[in-house]
Amino acid sequence: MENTQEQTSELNLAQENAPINTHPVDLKFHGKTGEFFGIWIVNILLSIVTLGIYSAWAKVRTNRYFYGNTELDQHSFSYLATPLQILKGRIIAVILFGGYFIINMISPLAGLGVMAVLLFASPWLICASLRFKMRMTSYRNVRFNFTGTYGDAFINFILLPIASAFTLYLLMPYALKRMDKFIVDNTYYGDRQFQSNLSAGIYYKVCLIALVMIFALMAIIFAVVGSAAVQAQADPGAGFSMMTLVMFALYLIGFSLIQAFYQAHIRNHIFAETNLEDLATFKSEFSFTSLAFLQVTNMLALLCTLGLAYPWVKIRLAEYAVARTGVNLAENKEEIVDVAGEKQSALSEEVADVFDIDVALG
Amino acid sequence: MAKFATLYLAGHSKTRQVKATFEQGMLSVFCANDGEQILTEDISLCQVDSALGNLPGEIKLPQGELLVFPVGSEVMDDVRKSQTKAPLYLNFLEQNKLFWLIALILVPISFYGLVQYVIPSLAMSFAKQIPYTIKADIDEQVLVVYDKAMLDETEIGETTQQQIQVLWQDLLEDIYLDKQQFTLLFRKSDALKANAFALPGGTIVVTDELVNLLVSKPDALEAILLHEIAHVELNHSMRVMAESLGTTLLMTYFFGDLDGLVEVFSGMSVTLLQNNYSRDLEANADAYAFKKLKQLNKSPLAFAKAMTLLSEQTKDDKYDSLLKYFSTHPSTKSRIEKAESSAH
Repeated sequence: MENTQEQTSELNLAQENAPINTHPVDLKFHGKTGEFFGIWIVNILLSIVTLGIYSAWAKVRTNRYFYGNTELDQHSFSYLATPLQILKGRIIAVILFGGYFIINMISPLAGLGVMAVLLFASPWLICASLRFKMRMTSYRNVRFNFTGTYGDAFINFILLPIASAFTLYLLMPYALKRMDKFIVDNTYYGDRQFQSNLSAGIYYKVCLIALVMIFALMAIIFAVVGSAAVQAQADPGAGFSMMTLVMFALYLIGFSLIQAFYQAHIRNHIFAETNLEDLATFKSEFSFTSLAFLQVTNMLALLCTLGLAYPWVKIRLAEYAVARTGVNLAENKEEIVDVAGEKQSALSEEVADVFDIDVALG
Repeated sequence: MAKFATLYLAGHSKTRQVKATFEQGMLSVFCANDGEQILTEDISLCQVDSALGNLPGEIKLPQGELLVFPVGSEVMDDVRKSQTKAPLYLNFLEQNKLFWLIALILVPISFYGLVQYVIPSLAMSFAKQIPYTIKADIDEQVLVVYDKAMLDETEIGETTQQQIQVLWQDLLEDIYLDKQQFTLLFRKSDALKANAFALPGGTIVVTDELVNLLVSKPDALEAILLHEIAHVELNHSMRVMAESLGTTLLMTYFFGDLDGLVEVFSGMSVTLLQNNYSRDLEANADAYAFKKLKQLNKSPLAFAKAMTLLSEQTKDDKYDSLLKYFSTHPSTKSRIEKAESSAH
């Protein structure tokens, strides 16, 4: 569908920062809680009765639903992975994880050896899993791609974090910036490369404030524990039980506030400082308070409904992200060439998933 | 019958407005403006996506072009009907509100069945496959780590040690177990306080604090030892391993795509499930001890006595509260009650 007339985005995008001649385009999310609830509950039921085999189909249906309902400039995204691709990767990943798990339990010493192997394998897993995720995403019949290499991933995800541990974590914000830059700058849409110009200063500022928040949270928890300990002398059983629950709630809420603060500021920074070669610029307007409110209410909803609110939570998160993201596209959007090439195996992504090696921006 | 659709060219972001028809297995695409035929393909060579929610229909053509139909397109419906029927049934179930209700009832039931019966029985048959030599090997390795991490050399006197070893050997003989496969060790531990634990290959460790507490009550000590023997005899360590592997995978695959904080819940559910299994195993081991005590013409009250002494020692709370779900053992109170009722 040709889009000639200018769209007015919900966000007032700063045009003067754009290095290329772009105009704001609509970004919409069409997913509905009710509709996704049906997909989700059938996914869960079939996954349980097939002892997990259907989970590969469930993953594809869920991703297709969210990608397909995200519409940029009147064209939807597509998720391309097939259930059999996911299932094959998943079976091998389960065998590897099972082996690791058993070795770890049987012989803690051999487990250490396996952990070392995993440490050296994780940069490869990170790259391969990002490559799979990107290549399985397409927009206007052109796929995304990821070209990060083992060496760079090893420096950014292994060496820098280890080095920062030896510098009282003073290097950590810099390492986090490097990780995000590595992900963004190695991502392609067709033949166009994403380019970012991230500032370490922002990462230091955000991490410093997050650190202050962590200390404040710890102080509050200690204060609560202290006062509870006094009460506990009167009634040991009830006191202990209440204290544990209150501490757990404080920890959850405090942690989600800190996470929301970091995510909101870093995502906004990454989007503002990233452009897609001669094609697009971006804007993100996450705010700490609205994101924190969203996360805490999501958590409460999940807790109060024993997880049944999950579809609502997922749709809300997607709606929030889409409503607060702006995209400027250039007129040459029809000139992108797909260069991603041959088929992909889902193995690395599945291995990364089951070992919980997850990387995401911000 | 022709409907508007969007044709995305192969390997390129360029698009064209088109009309498409589907007749006798052949998909034909025409230019929307002048009606000129662009291509025609055998549908069996195309990749047709399955119906999902209210998403537009997508057909990937063999040369790499993508044809996207708007929601509710009759041509797309016809194409889907020509494919295997399973995805259509699936889509019907996903949209059928009555089935949602049925699924809402079936999910907890099947989940309960999975967690309560399928995983434990799979874990049990897995545990039986592990040969004794491997389990003995595990004992050796785990003990090395424990000795470094939380156990010290015992300070129990030689005579007391010998006295308890005699009691131990007699106990094994009385319940017809292979003495070669069981070893009793003494260790001092500030971390564990008065406690005992069993490793899968038959190594049972009692702490100095436990020995001091029960040395003058041999029946109570025997009851505790029988509980630990049960863990070995019933293969509990291997079962715990298989059950925690099962629950970890379960949560990864059923709820694994949750982001950030929500993961805390899935982590918590894994802990709750594993603690649930652990409490079941502890209760099994208690029941084994009661049975053996009776066979030896002793009263399960010996076990109740041991638990009472232990709970006084550790100031263990006997309250049955919400916290029981976070505990790896049944509450002391319920264990004592079970011992008492088993004695009558």
